[in-house]
Amino acid sequence: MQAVETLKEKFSESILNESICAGQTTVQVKKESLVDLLLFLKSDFNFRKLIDLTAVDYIKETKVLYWLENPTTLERIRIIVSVMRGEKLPSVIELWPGANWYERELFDMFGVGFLGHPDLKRILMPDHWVGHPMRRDYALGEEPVEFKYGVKPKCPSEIIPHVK
Amino acid sequence: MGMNQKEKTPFLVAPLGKLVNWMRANSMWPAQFGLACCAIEMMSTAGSRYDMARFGMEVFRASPRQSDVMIVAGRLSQKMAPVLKTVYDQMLEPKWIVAMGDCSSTGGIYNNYAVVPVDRVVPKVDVYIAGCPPRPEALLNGLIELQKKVKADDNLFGWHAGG
Amino acid sequence: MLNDLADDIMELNLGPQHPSTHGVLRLKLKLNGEYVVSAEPVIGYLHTGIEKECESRTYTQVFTLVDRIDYLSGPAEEQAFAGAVEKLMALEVPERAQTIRVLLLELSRIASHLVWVGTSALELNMSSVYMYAFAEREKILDLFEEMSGARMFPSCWRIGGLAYDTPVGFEEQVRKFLKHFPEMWKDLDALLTDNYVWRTRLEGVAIIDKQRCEDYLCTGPVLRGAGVPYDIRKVYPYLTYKDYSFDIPTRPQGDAFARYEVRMEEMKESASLIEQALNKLKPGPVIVDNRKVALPPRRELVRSMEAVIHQFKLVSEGLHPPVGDFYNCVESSRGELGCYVVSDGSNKPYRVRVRSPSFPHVEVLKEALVGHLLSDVVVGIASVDPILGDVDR
Repeated sequence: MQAVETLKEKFSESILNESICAGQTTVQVKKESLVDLLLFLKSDFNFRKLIDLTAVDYIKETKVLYWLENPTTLERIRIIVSVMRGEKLPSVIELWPGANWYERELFDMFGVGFLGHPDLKRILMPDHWVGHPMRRDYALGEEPVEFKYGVKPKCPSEIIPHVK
Repeated sequence: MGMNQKEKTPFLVAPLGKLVNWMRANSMWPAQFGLACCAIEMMSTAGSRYDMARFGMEVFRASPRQSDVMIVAGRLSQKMAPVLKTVYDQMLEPKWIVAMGDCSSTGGIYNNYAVVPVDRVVPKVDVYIAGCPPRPEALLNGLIELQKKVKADDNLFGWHAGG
Repeated sequence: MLNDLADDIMELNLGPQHPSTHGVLRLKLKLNGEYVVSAEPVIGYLHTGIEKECESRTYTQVFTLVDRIDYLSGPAEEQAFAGAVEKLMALEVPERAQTIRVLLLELSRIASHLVWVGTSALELNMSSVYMYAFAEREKILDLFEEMSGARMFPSCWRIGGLAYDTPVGFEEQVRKFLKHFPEMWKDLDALLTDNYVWRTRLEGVAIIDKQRCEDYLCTGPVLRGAGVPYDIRKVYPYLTYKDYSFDIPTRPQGDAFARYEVRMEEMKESASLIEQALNKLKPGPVIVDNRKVALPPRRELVRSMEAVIHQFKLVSEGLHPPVGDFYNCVESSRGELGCYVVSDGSNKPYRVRVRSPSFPHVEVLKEALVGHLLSDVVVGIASVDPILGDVDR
């Protein structure tokens, strides 16, 4: 994709890798140049629409993903940023005001802090809740269920165990 | 009068007790507490095919102070549980509560940190209706069971919650 | 002192339990007289932890969980998840399964828009529209019950196709429904579109124009009501939507009435799509033939030992997609519904993320409701069609 080639020239020291998998282009960047890169994509290459902002937790680090779309050429690109536990990311609220709630959800569920966010507080869990539920080391909170009378109660997720 | 709350209705006013129970059972006003998918089935039950109005229950009051029964339709999350308790406390006695659907009765298919069954928030649930979501006929069956329970009540002067 | 009273701001809490039938949304309103000065939506009252729960279920078990996120369009959610896993495993779904999936998706779109019309009219005290809309919806729920046994959540999607074929006589029943649907549509249209009260209450309320849509990530009827002809079925076609001919209704004004007109037109387009799907139905298999993905047919279990072993493995362990991730998007009745699946090669997904269309639509209310009267707040919330199960997951 032409945008990716230009990105590689302009931000060459920030781009960690780029790949295409099943037709979806992905670029992994360092968090310091995230906002500049997104602003460049938005203004020069017309990737004006943000589709989604989410994260995947791998216990020591969290990968935050941004999907952008160019509404005229209908191309989609994905930007991945990797954050260690306890570090903070710059916020993209100036580019898309709607990212406010998405970043609050990431803070609530994953514990990712955002610099420059006006009101970073919990959105889905109650305000006094301790812990970040979507992290992989946060327990699901299952209770054993007695499915059949007289049989030892078991947790539903252990009935079909996890098999690699 | 000696208001011991566990006393049965005195013999001479028993027909009056039956009349009061009949009136209470046939015109219960539900408080609107539709949360999730079961609320849509509750709305279908109030529609024209499975008519809830023939049992006297089509008047869904928004204010809890004007209603008799609260049908908790849907999954109760951690943030919503204190709200349920507040709204339930505002209802005037005699009041009944119906847990509609699997999620409010037991937690349903969600066995995790976020869903709370209704009987951990409220002192006593009167009718549990199973189903995910329960068919409108199942909801009507549950409400008829509630009517039977109200008509069989033999404690005219001392109704209190949890008893 | 009296002059200070004139500028007094009153805080009103439109709490999670309220007369508007659109779910447990809380709005913290600041009012100056009757005019809204600021509106802050508070969500989280229906958070069920579905995304975390999906990480401890196998791929086939996730269908029942993901169904109940957007509880008015269960088929769209199932299609989003199934499409993501099928792309990840590079499976080719048979054509009959794709046609039946399109049919069920469009039926659920009509059902969802009927609920929207019924409940929005009920909030403006037009309860006859509510009765008509729900009576029509009962016919669609009967069709779902014929197909799968459940009224609202036909969990008949499987990875690679459908769990079972349509029953005998299903096509005639769908044609019977389609024969009477245009009259019912005309009834609803006659009751609402030229109704003086409906128009005055909806026109000019909660204007979400093109720039606001882009800033706040809005999609679906909200975007099409602002004049942008963007529909995932045309732009990134999935299933066999390339072979169908349908229009994308848009309106330029961006207010609540524009969104109402877009949704009514979409119901007509969906009826035409269902008719085209019925004409395209041809006999054939309904699930992919790969024994590592789909259960073998029952008659093979009597004859073949490998079939028994495959059945045992699939039921007691589940299928194993390759390592990777994929984001699949689908046009649900509310907007772009996306499902991002990360697989680590085991029998349970590593992460399932559902990009819900109603989440940004509730966020945009904090700008769209400012300056309106208090009675317009209810109309404004109803016009963006939020489903709180979708917002909170």
